[in-house]
Amino acid sequence: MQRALEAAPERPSAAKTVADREYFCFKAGDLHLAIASEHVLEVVRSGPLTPLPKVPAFILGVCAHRGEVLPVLDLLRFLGKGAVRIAGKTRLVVGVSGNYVAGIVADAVTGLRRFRLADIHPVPVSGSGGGEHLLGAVRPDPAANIILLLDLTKLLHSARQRAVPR
Amino acid sequence: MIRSVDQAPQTVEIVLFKIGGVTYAADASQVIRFDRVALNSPGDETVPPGPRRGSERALIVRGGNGACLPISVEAVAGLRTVPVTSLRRLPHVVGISRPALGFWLDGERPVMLIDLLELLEGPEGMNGFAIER
Repeated sequence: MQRALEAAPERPSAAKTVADREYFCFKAGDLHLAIASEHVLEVVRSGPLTPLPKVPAFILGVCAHRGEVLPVLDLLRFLGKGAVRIAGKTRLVVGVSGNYVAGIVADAVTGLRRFRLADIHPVPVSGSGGGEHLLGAVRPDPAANIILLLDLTKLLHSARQRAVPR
Repeated sequence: MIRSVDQAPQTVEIVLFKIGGVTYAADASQVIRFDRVALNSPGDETVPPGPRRGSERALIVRGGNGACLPISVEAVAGLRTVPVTSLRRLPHVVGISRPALGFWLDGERPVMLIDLLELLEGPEGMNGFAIER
Protein backbone atom coordinates (compact mmCIF):
# COMPACT_ATOMS: atom_id res chain seq x y z
CA MET A 1 0.00 0.00 0.00
CA GLN A 2 2.82 2.39 0.87
CA ARG A 3 4.44 1.80 -2.53
CA ALA A 4 1.16 2.31 -4.35
CA LEU A 5 0.60 5.62 -2.58
CA GLU A 6 4.10 6.79 -3.48
CA ALA A 7 3.50 5.96 -7.15
CA ALA A 8 0.10 7.67 -7.26
CA PRO A 9 -0.10 11.02 -9.11
CA GLU A 10 -0.49 14.27 -7.22
CA ARG A 11 -3.77 15.07 -8.96
CA PRO A 12 -5.94 13.41 -11.64
CA SER A 13 -4.35 13.90 -15.09
CA ALA A 14 -7.73 13.69 -16.82
CA ALA A 15 -8.61 17.08 -15.44
CA LYS A 16 -5.86 18.68 -17.51
CA THR A 17 -7.27 20.74 -20.38
CA VAL A 18 -5.53 22.09 -23.42
CA ALA A 19 -6.31 25.72 -24.16
CA ASP A 20 -3.99 26.18 -27.11
CA ARG A 21 -1.89 24.23 -29.56
CA GLU A 22 1.37 24.90 -31.35
CA TYR A 23 1.37 24.96 -35.15
CA PHE A 24 4.10 25.21 -37.74
CA CYS A 25 3.09 27.90 -40.24
CA PHE A 26 4.13 28.22 -43.87
CA LYS A 27 2.98 29.59 -47.19
CA ALA A 28 2.26 27.74 -50.43
CA GLY A 29 1.20 29.95 -53.31
CA ASP A 30 -1.35 32.39 -51.86
CA LEU A 31 -2.38 30.01 -49.10
CA HIS A 32 -1.28 30.48 -45.51
CA LEU A 33 -1.13 27.01 -44.00
CA ALA A 34 -0.22 25.38 -40.70
CA ILE A 35 0.45 21.88 -39.42
CA ALA A 36 0.36 20.86 -35.75
CA SER A 37 3.98 21.05 -34.66
CA GLU A 38 4.08 17.47 -33.34
CA HIS A 39 3.67 16.29 -36.96
CA VAL A 40 6.60 18.34 -38.28
CA LEU A 41 10.03 16.73 -38.11
CA GLU A 42 12.01 19.54 -39.69
CA VAL A 43 12.28 21.95 -42.59
CA VAL A 44 14.90 21.33 -45.25
CA ARG A 45 15.99 22.73 -48.57
CA SER A 46 14.56 20.92 -51.55
CA GLY A 47 17.24 18.63 -52.96
CA PRO A 48 17.30 17.18 -56.47
CA LEU A 49 13.92 15.64 -57.23
CA THR A 50 13.51 12.32 -58.99
CA PRO A 51 10.19 12.34 -60.88
CA LEU A 52 8.02 9.23 -60.65
CA PRO A 53 5.96 7.50 -63.30
CA LYS A 54 2.33 6.51 -62.76
CA VAL A 55 1.63 8.86 -59.87
CA PRO A 56 -0.80 11.76 -59.55
CA ALA A 57 0.56 15.20 -60.42
CA PHE A 58 0.52 16.30 -56.76
CA ILE A 59 3.39 13.89 -56.08
CA LEU A 60 6.26 15.88 -57.55
CA GLY A 61 8.75 13.07 -57.05
CA VAL A 62 11.11 11.86 -54.38
CA CYS A 63 14.31 13.19 -52.90
CA ALA A 64 16.89 11.82 -50.52
CA HIS A 65 16.48 12.92 -46.93
CA ARG A 66 18.78 11.70 -44.16
CA GLY A 67 19.46 8.46 -46.00
CA GLU A 68 15.81 7.75 -46.78
CA VAL A 69 13.59 8.36 -49.78
CA LEU A 70 11.15 11.19 -49.16
CA PRO A 71 8.07 11.69 -51.34
CA VAL A 72 7.48 15.37 -52.14
CA LEU A 73 3.92 16.67 -52.26
CA ASP A 74 2.53 19.80 -53.90
CA LEU A 75 -0.34 20.82 -51.62
CA LEU A 76 -1.66 23.35 -54.11
CA ARG A 77 -2.17 20.63 -56.70
CA PHE A 78 -3.59 18.30 -54.05
CA LEU A 79 -6.11 20.90 -52.92
CA GLY A 80 -6.88 22.03 -56.47
CA LYS A 81 -5.48 25.52 -55.87
CA GLY A 82 -2.87 25.72 -58.63
CA ALA A 83 0.70 24.50 -58.52
CA VAL A 84 3.86 25.40 -56.64
CA ARG A 85 7.04 26.51 -58.36
CA ILE A 86 10.28 25.01 -57.13
CA ALA A 87 12.79 27.85 -56.68
CA GLY A 88 15.87 28.64 -54.65
CA LYS A 89 13.84 29.65 -51.61
CA THR A 90 11.62 26.60 -51.74
CA ARG A 91 11.65 24.53 -48.57
CA LEU A 92 10.24 21.14 -47.69
CA VAL A 93 8.25 20.78 -44.50
CA VAL A 94 8.90 17.18 -43.49
CA GLY A 95 5.63 15.96 -42.03
CA VAL A 96 5.03 12.63 -40.32
CA SER A 97 1.97 10.70 -39.24
CA GLY A 98 2.52 7.10 -38.18
CA ASN A 99 4.39 5.30 -40.98
CA TYR A 100 3.66 8.07 -43.46
CA VAL A 101 6.38 10.65 -44.04
CA ALA A 102 6.33 13.26 -46.78
CA GLY A 103 7.93 16.53 -47.72
CA ILE A 104 5.44 19.32 -48.35
CA VAL A 105 6.59 22.11 -50.61
CA ALA A 106 6.56 25.54 -48.94
CA ASP A 107 7.25 28.81 -50.73
CA ALA A 108 7.97 30.52 -47.41
CA VAL A 109 8.21 29.43 -43.79
CA THR A 110 6.62 31.60 -41.11
CA GLY A 111 7.58 29.51 -38.11
CA LEU A 112 5.93 28.24 -34.94
CA ARG A 113 2.83 29.92 -33.52
CA ARG A 114 0.41 29.04 -30.77
CA PHE A 115 -3.30 29.32 -31.46
CA ARG A 116 -6.02 29.22 -28.84
CA LEU A 117 -8.50 26.45 -29.57
CA ALA A 118 -11.30 28.94 -29.03
CA ASP A 119 -9.99 31.02 -31.95
CA ILE A 120 -10.08 28.13 -34.42
CA HIS A 121 -13.14 28.19 -36.64
CA PRO A 122 -14.54 25.30 -38.67
CA VAL A 123 -14.31 25.38 -42.45
CA PRO A 124 -16.88 24.06 -44.90
CA VAL A 125 -16.16 20.43 -45.79
CA SER A 126 -18.10 20.33 -49.04
CA GLY A 127 -16.81 21.59 -52.35
CA SER A 128 -13.48 21.26 -54.11
CA GLY A 129 -11.48 23.36 -51.69
CA GLY A 130 -10.09 20.39 -49.78
CA GLY A 131 -12.06 21.31 -46.65
CA GLU A 132 -12.10 17.70 -45.49
CA HIS A 133 -8.33 17.93 -45.01
CA LEU A 134 -8.54 20.96 -42.75
CA LEU A 135 -8.93 21.02 -38.98
CA GLY A 136 -10.15 24.59 -39.16
CA ALA A 137 -9.06 28.14 -39.85
CA VAL A 138 -7.72 30.89 -37.66
CA ARG A 139 -7.12 34.61 -38.08
CA PRO A 140 -4.47 35.52 -35.49
CA ASP A 141 -5.47 39.19 -35.57
CA PRO A 142 -7.93 41.26 -37.61
CA ALA A 143 -5.23 42.52 -39.99
CA ALA A 144 -3.67 39.09 -40.57
CA ASN A 145 -4.37 36.56 -43.29
CA ILE A 146 -6.51 33.54 -42.53
CA ILE A 147 -4.39 30.50 -41.75
CA LEU A 148 -5.74 27.10 -42.74
CA LEU A 149 -4.90 24.35 -40.27
CA LEU A 150 -4.13 21.11 -42.08
CA ASP A 151 -5.16 17.68 -40.83
CA LEU A 152 -1.88 16.04 -41.82
CA THR A 153 -2.94 12.53 -40.86
CA LYS A 154 -6.01 12.69 -43.09
CA LEU A 155 -4.07 14.44 -45.83
CA LEU A 156 -1.31 11.82 -46.02
CA HIS A 157 -3.81 8.97 -45.97
CA SER A 158 -5.82 10.63 -48.75
CA ALA A 159 -2.64 11.21 -50.75
CA ARG A 160 -1.81 7.54 -50.41
CA GLN A 161 -5.32 6.50 -51.46
CA ARG A 162 -5.23 8.75 -54.50
CA ALA A 163 -1.75 7.53 -55.44
CA VAL A 164 -2.54 3.82 -55.32
CA PRO A 165 -3.42 2.60 -58.81
CA ARG A 166 -6.91 1.18 -59.07
CA MET B 1 31.23 -27.03 -34.70
CA ILE B 2 30.16 -23.98 -36.60
CA ARG B 3 27.84 -24.62 -39.49
CA SER B 4 28.19 -22.33 -42.47
CA VAL B 5 25.04 -20.46 -43.39
CA ASP B 6 24.10 -18.71 -46.59
CA GLN B 7 24.71 -15.03 -46.16
CA ALA B 8 22.76 -12.36 -47.96
CA PRO B 9 24.81 -10.62 -50.64
CA GLN B 10 26.51 -7.42 -49.58
CA THR B 11 26.43 -5.90 -53.04
CA VAL B 12 24.23 -6.12 -56.09
CA GLU B 13 24.94 -5.28 -59.71
CA ILE B 14 22.52 -2.90 -61.36
CA VAL B 15 22.16 -1.58 -64.87
CA LEU B 16 21.33 2.10 -65.31
CA PHE B 17 19.29 3.33 -68.26
CA LYS B 18 17.24 6.34 -69.31
CA ILE B 19 13.62 6.60 -70.32
CA GLY B 20 12.05 10.00 -70.97
CA GLY B 21 15.17 11.73 -69.68
CA VAL B 22 14.86 10.00 -66.29
CA THR B 23 17.44 7.50 -65.06
CA TYR B 24 16.17 4.15 -63.85
CA ALA B 25 17.96 1.07 -62.57
CA ALA B 26 17.32 -2.66 -62.73
CA ASP B 27 18.90 -5.88 -61.53
CA ALA B 28 21.66 -6.51 -64.07
CA SER B 29 21.11 -10.27 -63.85
CA GLN B 30 17.80 -9.77 -65.67
CA VAL B 31 19.59 -8.39 -68.73
CA ILE B 32 21.12 -10.85 -71.18
CA ARG B 33 22.83 -8.19 -73.29
CA PHE B 34 22.54 -4.65 -74.58
CA ASP B 35 21.70 -4.03 -78.19
CA ARG B 36 20.58 -1.39 -80.60
CA VAL B 37 16.86 -1.27 -81.23
CA ALA B 38 16.19 -3.13 -84.47
CA LEU B 39 13.47 -1.21 -86.22
CA ASN B 40 12.89 -3.81 -88.89
CA SER B 41 9.59 -2.80 -90.25
CA PRO B 42 6.52 -0.79 -89.31
CA GLY B 43 4.40 -2.74 -86.89
CA ASP B 44 7.30 -4.86 -85.70
CA GLU B 45 5.89 -6.17 -82.42
CA THR B 46 9.24 -7.13 -80.95
CA VAL B 47 9.96 -3.47 -80.33
CA PRO B 48 7.69 -1.87 -77.75
CA PRO B 49 5.99 1.29 -79.01
CA GLY B 50 7.12 4.60 -77.61
CA PRO B 51 8.80 7.86 -78.47
CA ARG B 52 11.81 7.34 -80.73
CA ARG B 53 15.02 9.28 -80.44
CA GLY B 54 18.30 9.33 -82.32
CA SER B 55 20.30 6.36 -81.13
CA GLU B 56 18.10 4.15 -79.03
CA ARG B 57 19.35 1.13 -77.20
CA ALA B 58 17.62 -1.96 -76.01
CA LEU B 59 17.98 -4.13 -72.97
CA ILE B 60 17.57 -7.72 -74.08
CA VAL B 61 15.65 -9.62 -71.40
CA ARG B 62 14.51 -13.24 -71.33
CA GLY B 63 10.75 -13.27 -70.87
CA GLY B 64 8.66 -15.76 -68.97
CA ASN B 65 8.23 -17.96 -72.07
CA GLY B 66 11.98 -18.13 -72.60
CA ALA B 67 12.02 -15.78 -75.57
CA CYS B 68 14.55 -12.94 -75.68
CA LEU B 69 12.72 -9.65 -75.83
CA PRO B 70 14.04 -6.10 -76.25
CA ILE B 71 13.11 -3.26 -73.93
CA SER B 72 13.68 -0.01 -75.75
CA VAL B 73 15.49 2.69 -73.75
CA GLU B 74 16.99 6.04 -74.69
CA ALA B 75 20.42 5.23 -73.37
CA VAL B 76 22.23 2.68 -71.26
CA ALA B 77 24.22 4.52 -68.61
CA GLY B 78 26.29 1.53 -67.51
CA LEU B 79 26.63 -1.13 -64.87
CA ARG B 80 27.30 -0.41 -61.21
CA THR B 81 28.01 -2.66 -58.26
CA VAL B 82 26.28 -1.05 -55.30
CA PRO B 83 26.00 -2.01 -51.63
CA VAL B 84 22.63 -3.38 -50.59
CA THR B 85 22.65 -0.79 -47.81
CA SER B 86 22.09 1.86 -50.49
CA LEU B 87 18.78 0.28 -51.55
CA ARG B 88 15.48 1.56 -50.17
CA ARG B 89 11.88 0.37 -50.25
CA LEU B 90 9.10 2.44 -51.81
CA PRO B 91 7.81 5.13 -49.42
CA HIS B 92 4.37 4.46 -47.94
CA VAL B 93 2.76 7.59 -49.32
CA VAL B 94 3.79 6.81 -52.90
CA GLY B 95 1.26 4.30 -54.12
CA ILE B 96 3.25 2.99 -57.06
CA SER B 97 3.84 -0.73 -57.09
CA ARG B 98 5.38 -3.22 -59.50
CA PRO B 99 7.25 -3.01 -61.77
CA ALA B 100 8.71 -0.41 -59.37
CA LEU B 101 10.67 -2.23 -56.66
CA GLY B 102 12.21 0.59 -54.68
CA PHE B 103 15.12 2.96 -55.01
CA TRP B 104 18.87 3.01 -55.18
CA LEU B 105 20.30 6.02 -53.39
CA ASP B 106 22.95 7.46 -55.68
CA GLY B 107 24.26 9.87 -53.07
CA GLU B 108 21.57 12.57 -52.81
CA ARG B 109 19.63 11.28 -55.81
CA PRO B 110 17.11 8.43 -55.56
CA VAL B 111 17.04 6.22 -58.68
CA MET B 112 13.98 4.04 -59.14
CA LEU B 113 14.58 0.29 -59.36
CA ILE B 114 12.43 -1.53 -61.90
CA ASP B 115 11.67 -5.22 -62.33
CA LEU B 116 12.25 -5.64 -66.08
CA LEU B 117 10.36 -8.94 -66.29
CA GLU B 118 7.28 -7.35 -64.71
CA LEU B 119 7.69 -4.43 -67.06
CA LEU B 120 7.67 -6.75 -70.06
CA GLU B 121 4.51 -8.47 -68.89
CA GLY B 122 2.69 -5.25 -67.99
CA PRO B 123 -0.09 -4.09 -70.29
CA GLU B 124 1.51 -0.72 -70.97
CA GLY B 125 5.13 -1.80 -71.40
CA MET B 126 7.53 1.12 -71.48
CA ASN B 127 4.72 3.55 -72.27
CA GLY B 128 3.59 3.22 -68.69
CA PHE B 129 6.85 4.76 -67.61
CA ALA B 130 6.52 7.93 -69.65
CA ILE B 131 6.33 10.69 -67.04
CA GLU B 132 3.66 13.22 -67.88
CA ARG B 133 4.00 16.70 -66.45
